[in-house]
This record gives sequence, C-alpha cells and structure tokens, in this order.
Amino acid sequence: MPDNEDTIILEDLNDGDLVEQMHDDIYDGLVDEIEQGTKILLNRGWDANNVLTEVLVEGMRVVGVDFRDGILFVPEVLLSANAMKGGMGLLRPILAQSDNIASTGKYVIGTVKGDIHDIGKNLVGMMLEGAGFEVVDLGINNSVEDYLHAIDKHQPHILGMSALLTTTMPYMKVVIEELDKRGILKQLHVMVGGAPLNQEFADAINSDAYGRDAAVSVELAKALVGKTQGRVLEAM
Amino acid sequence: MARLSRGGRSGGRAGNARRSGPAIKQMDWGIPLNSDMPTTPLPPEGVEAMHDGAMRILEEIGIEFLNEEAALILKKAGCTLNDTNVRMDREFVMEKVALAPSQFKITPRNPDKEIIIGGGHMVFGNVSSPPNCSDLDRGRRPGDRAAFQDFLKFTQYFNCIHFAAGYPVEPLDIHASVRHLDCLYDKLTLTDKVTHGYCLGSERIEDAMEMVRIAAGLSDEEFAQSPRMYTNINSSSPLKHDWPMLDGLMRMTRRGQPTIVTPFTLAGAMAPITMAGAVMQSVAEALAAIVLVQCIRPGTPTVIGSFTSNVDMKTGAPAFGTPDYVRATQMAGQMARFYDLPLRSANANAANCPDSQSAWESMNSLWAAVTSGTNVVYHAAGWLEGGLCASYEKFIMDCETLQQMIAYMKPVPCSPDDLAFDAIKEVGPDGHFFGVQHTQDRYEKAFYNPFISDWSNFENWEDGGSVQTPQRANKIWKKILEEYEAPTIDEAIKEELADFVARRKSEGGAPTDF
Ligand code: B12
Repeated sequence: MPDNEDTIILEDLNDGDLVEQMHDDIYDGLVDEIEQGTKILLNRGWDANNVLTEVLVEGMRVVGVDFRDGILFVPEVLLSANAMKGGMGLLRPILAQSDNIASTGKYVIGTVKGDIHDIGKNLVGMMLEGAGFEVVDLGINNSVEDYLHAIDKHQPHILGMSALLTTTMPYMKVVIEELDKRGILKQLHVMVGGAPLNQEFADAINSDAYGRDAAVSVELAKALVGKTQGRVLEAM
Repeated sequence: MARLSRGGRSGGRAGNARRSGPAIKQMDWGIPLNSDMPTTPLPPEGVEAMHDGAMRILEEIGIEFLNEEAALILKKAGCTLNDTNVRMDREFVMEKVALAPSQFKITPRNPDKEIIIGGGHMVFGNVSSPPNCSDLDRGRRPGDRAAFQDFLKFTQYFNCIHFAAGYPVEPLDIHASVRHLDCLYDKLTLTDKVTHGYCLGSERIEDAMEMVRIAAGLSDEEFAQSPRMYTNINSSSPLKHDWPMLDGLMRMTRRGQPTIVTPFTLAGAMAPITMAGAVMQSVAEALAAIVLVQCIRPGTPTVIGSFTSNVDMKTGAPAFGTPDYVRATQMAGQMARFYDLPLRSANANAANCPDSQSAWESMNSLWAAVTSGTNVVYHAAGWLEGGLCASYEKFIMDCETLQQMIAYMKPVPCSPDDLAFDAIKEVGPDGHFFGVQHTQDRYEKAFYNPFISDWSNFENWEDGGSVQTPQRANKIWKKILEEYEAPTIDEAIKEELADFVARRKSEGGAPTDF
C-alpha cells in the first residue's frame, strides 16, 4: 500500500475517531502515536483520568482479551504494554497533582528468596502494567526484608509473590505471616503465583488470590483493587 | 510343509511359563550402544561458526558466576574477573575442556549396575523433580513420599532405566530441611542403581555424597577415586551460573564426582529465538562451568547438557519434543562431538495427560536423543506437563518406547544365515514361512515384543473392553508394584545409613527459613 493512503493525521480526527484510532494503535503497539494522541486529547481539554480509563485502559483491555484467547503473541503484547506506558508517562504527573488515582493500582511484585525463576513473573508484571497498574518489580531472590522495604517505600495496593520451587514456596508463608504480625495485611492484598502452586496452597498460606496465568492474574488484581476502593469508600 | 522340530515335551499348556509369569517380560539389563551415524543439521562451517560465536560470548560478553569462590578460582587460572562477570579466551577454554574425558564409568553400590557415559553408549534415567504426580485412579495430586517410593520401585524394576536421576516426584509431605535425607535413604535402599544428588545448598550435596559413600561401603579415599554418583546443574540462562549450583559443582569435583552442566535455554525467552543462537548460548554457558571443573580437579568427568527448546510465544510456556527441539538437540550433539564431551538430553513433552500428544512429543524427544548421539537421557520415563507432573501410566508407556529404542539400537546382522537364501528357496513361491526351520529357530527372539501395544484386531479389542494404552499401563504398574523386590543390602550398611539420617535430622538437616 502506498504510504500516503496509510497515513492518518491524528490531529484531523474528531474525538470519537481519535479514541477509536488510539485503541487500534495500542493494539498495534505504536508508542509514538499513543503519546501524540494522548497529548492531543489533553490539549482538547480531556480530563487525564478519562484519557486513562476510556482510551489507554480500554485499549489494553481488548489486548488482554486477545492475549487470553491465544490470538496475540507475547512480543506483541509487550509492544502494546509499552505503548500504554508511553501514554501513562504523560498522564501520571497530571494525575498525581489531582485527587485522582494515578493508576489502576500500585503493585509490587517479586520472586521469593532462593528462587530465580522469573519468566512468569515478568509476564504478569507486563500484563499488569498494560492494565494500568503501576508495577514495581523487585526481581528475583527477595527476602522478607526486601518485601517489607518495598511495601514501606511504595505503599502498594497489592503484593505479588512468585515461586517455582517446592523448596521456596513455603517462604511465601513466612512473608505473609510477617506482614500479618505487623498489621500490614489490613491494607495490603497478597497474590501468589508460580507453576507448582495451586488454589489449596494459596488458601493454606492465607493469601488473597492465586494467579494461574497472566490474564487471570490481571482480572484478580483488578477485583482486589476494586475491593480496596470499596473499603475506602465505605470508610468515608 | 516343513517338519516341526521340538526339543521334546515341555509340559504342555500347564508347563508354559508365558501363561502366568511377571507383569511384563522385559529386556535384560545392559548398556545400549548407539552405532548409527548422527544426524548433522549443521555443515562443518556451521559447527565452526557456532564454536566461534560461543568463544566470542566467553571472550567478549562473559558469564556471570554468582559465587565468589568459583569466580576467584577462574581469576587465579587467568580469566578476567569484573565483579561477577568472568571472561575467558578460547585457547584457555579449549585447553581446559580437553582435560575432560570423553567417556567414563559410574559405579553404584551394586557394581553390576555400573553405567558407561560417553562413546556411543546411551543410558536412561527416570523423570526428575516434578512437584505433582498423577495416575488414572487418584488423578493429579501434590507429590508425597508414598508416590516417590512407587516411582523408585519402577526405576529399580525396569532394566531399561539405568540410573536413578533426581527425585521422580517431590515428596512434599517431608519438610524441605530434611527431605533430601529421607529421599536419599529411599533411593539407596529401594534401588541399587547410580544415583544423583541435588546442588541446592552445601548441606544437601555433602549429605548426598556421604550417603552414597556409606551405601557402597567405601572409605573417603575409595569414594574419591572414581565416579560413584553424579549431579546435574542448570545455568540460569541467559549467561549466569547461580551460587548453589556452583557450590555443589565445586564440592562434587573436589571428591572426583561428575557434574552434568545443562543450560536450559528456552528460545524466545531465555535465549535467542533462533535455535542456532539458543544452542550457541547454551554451549558457552555449559563450557564455562566445565572449565571451572577442570581448573579445580583436572580430568574430573563432566557432561555437556542440552535442553534447548522453544516456548509457546503466546503464553511463554515451554514446549518440548517439537521439531525445533529435535534440531536443537542434534546441533548440540554436533557441538558435543566437536569438544569431545559426552552429551545429555531429555525425554520431555508438554502434554497434560498420557495422551497421543504426550506420546508423539516424547517420541520426538527420544529420536532427537538417538539421532544426536546423546549419551545420557534425563527424564526418560514418567514426565508430563513440561516437568510439572510425574505420571504413573506415562512411566510405563515410556519404558515401552525406551525398550523399543534399545531394540532399534541392536546391530542388524547380515550374515548368510540372516540373508536366508536357503529358506527362501525352501518355501518357494507357494508356501509360507511360519513352519520352516529358519523361522522355528528364531521366532521367539526375532522381533521386539512390545508389552503394552495391543495388536489384536478391532473386534477382539472391542470384545476385550476397548482398553486404551493408559488403562493398559495402569494395570501393569499395579502388578509391578506387587512384584517389586527390593535389592539386597547389607543390614549393617542399612543401619549406618539410617543412623546418618537420624543424626543429620537431629542437627537440622539443611537449614531453611520456615
Ligand atoms: C524455565 C525454567 C527454569 C529456568 C528459569 C529461567 C528464568 N529466568 O525464569 C532455569 C533453567 C534457570 C531453571 C532453574 C532451576 N529449576 Co526450573 N524450571 C523452568 C520451567 C521449565 C519453566 C518455568 C517457566 O518459566 N514457565 C513459563 C511461565 C510463563 O510460566 P509460570 O512460571 O508458571 O508463570 C505463570 C503462572 O504460574 C503465573 N505466575 C507466575 N508467577 C506469578 C506471580 C504472581 C504474583 C501471580 C499472580 C502469578 C504468577 O503467571 C505466569 C504467566 O502465565 C519449569 C517447569 C515448568 N514447566 O513450569 C522448571 C521447574 C520449575 N524448575 C525446577 C527446578 C528443580 C529447577 C532447578 C533447581 C534445577 C537445577 N537443579 O539446577 C533450578 C533452580 C534455580 C533456582 N535457584 O531457582 C522444577 C521445580 C520443581 C521442584 N521440584 O521444586 C521444575 C518444575 C522443572 C523440573 N521438573 O525439574 N528453571
């Protein structure tokens, strides 16, 4: 196809068409286009929170569905998530100044002490970012102290722990018990995942949710944050 | 019609041992020799290019040694150390790798079960390390000691399983701090085959070596004289060797015990998405650790492992027994021969139950092993779900295919007797061969007899209840467990082992945080 036929001038689109185009551009993983589109909408007086939810998060929702259904490849989703992050980068400073929540939620994730498996954890982190979560990745080999420090520093809504060894899974319980002892579990949800885990284990160690794969984990995380926000509203 | 020639009366129907007999009629113990020419997807220039690339990785990028002691040994030997990054030049690498033997033996407590690693030999070991197990009656469940022992009994029972590899399933009902003690005790008493110790902490590998030494009734010196067990380590691809694995490798090496170094390069995730690139990275990672062994104790046997496969690019999950996996294994074989090192690969699949997918992926993996010239086949029986589950039925099914591979590897004789000109002449155009003396002399051993394939016709199969392979395997494993006989062990040695376990347990075993 000749270039000129394919070229879309984002500025020339009305709001409705632009939003639709941005959904497509997120799907296609076009970071420059998403940044440009985000700026245009902001210039047209859009509320940053609306750009976030109606454009970016909605675009990634569709990506998430096609990822779950095995239509998209991991590298494609990675590009989509990057495009989303590009837009988020412009929105975050604005959102941070207002009363709005600057993201779907804050999520600290890391593989536990003694364990270096991180492929699954990285995929979950990527999909969470795609869904609008602000993700802090602690990497591998994390001790109780590492988690405590990160929780203290980042004040996340959710802590996610990954373990793939039967010899490191029990460490998740050690972390949860310590969080409980310190009263942190009252404000923090804990999610766990990793191939050898199952729901029974997740229940037995008193975690809030077990994520069997990245798509399910994102849904569960959203539901948990929904609960927190519900709790906050009730409290008000 | 030819005259039947029987060696006299044998008791008729009642005297026919085939009618009752054991669960299966299996092959005799022996170390198979694979004399086929390997398949070589790479032309000679390809091997050179891959070698050059692997050397450039070691020279220009380096490997992270996340173990200070190991890094310092390499530095002292002349490598460049930068924090954890170790670089080594190709002359040094080739000089050290040349010290590793191309063939060696491992002798377990029963010397009759000695195995040969390298040359054209091929040995098979049980599935290792899955956290779950499954069978048709009880479904999928977390591993426990009872299942662990069942799988060890299969390992001991089958002559086509030559060594007791890692834990055939993790016994999750034993606390991790003392699990290795109970596991090694079971392995050394329920089997008498070559065993493995995990490099997952200093205490675990030291205890494993001690227990193998005690079980074989050896002094420290005798133990260190020749290989009595082995370990297998993964690198943390890309380009890293982790602390516990290096620690275990060094401890094993100092006592003369062999290490298999198996990078697990999942193409697209932990290595380049191109299979050649993934194999090249794997070679560099493996050689780096093999060099370390040769710096510590020159001549200590080491094996280069290959576990390069693709991931499902839609989920990141590993796939096995794929065409890409087969090619990667064959390329690894070419490189192993280039460095004159024995090769390890595996019999893996990604199926969730013992279905057709599990069978064809496993068969692809096995053919990859045969056509690559693999010497050590890990996970040879029982593996499902990309290593997350050990299946009772799949173990039996795999032993059937292992036996078939062993039968395949037997030399094909072509003497005048085998060409059978006289028999062809005798039968002529109108007869059949069932009755000729040439057939009578050979029929019982002429072909491989599968113990689980069903060759009856459709109607007979249907009348028999339309029983499918996994159900047939289910019946067989139950009978095997009934028939299993523990190998003999000196009572005093058994007691010494039990005392060792009790003492180490009272000392806390391998400390954990939980
Ligand atoms: C790849 C791999 C490795 C790689 C890891 C590379 C890396 N950078 O991660 C390497 C080669 C380094 C490795 C090393 C080892 N491994 Co390993 N490894 C695997 C393997 C084959 C695949 C894991 C994987 O990446 N899967 C793909 C991802 C996408 O899936 P996933 O991890 O399950 O993640 C998904 C979900 O679980 C979930 N999820 C994951 N984390 C989280 C976290 C949260 C918060 C949530 C919500 C969800 C979630 O979402 C993810 C995305 O869908 C598994 C077997 C298997 N099939 O799972 C063995 C396996 C886990 N390893 C195993 C073993 C034994 C080891 C070693 C001890 C081997 C050795 N002797 O050296 C070492 C240990 C190293 C260490 N200290 O941790 C065993 C463990 C079982 C056990 N007995 O404890 C397994 C089961 C294989 C086996 N049978 O041997 N391994």
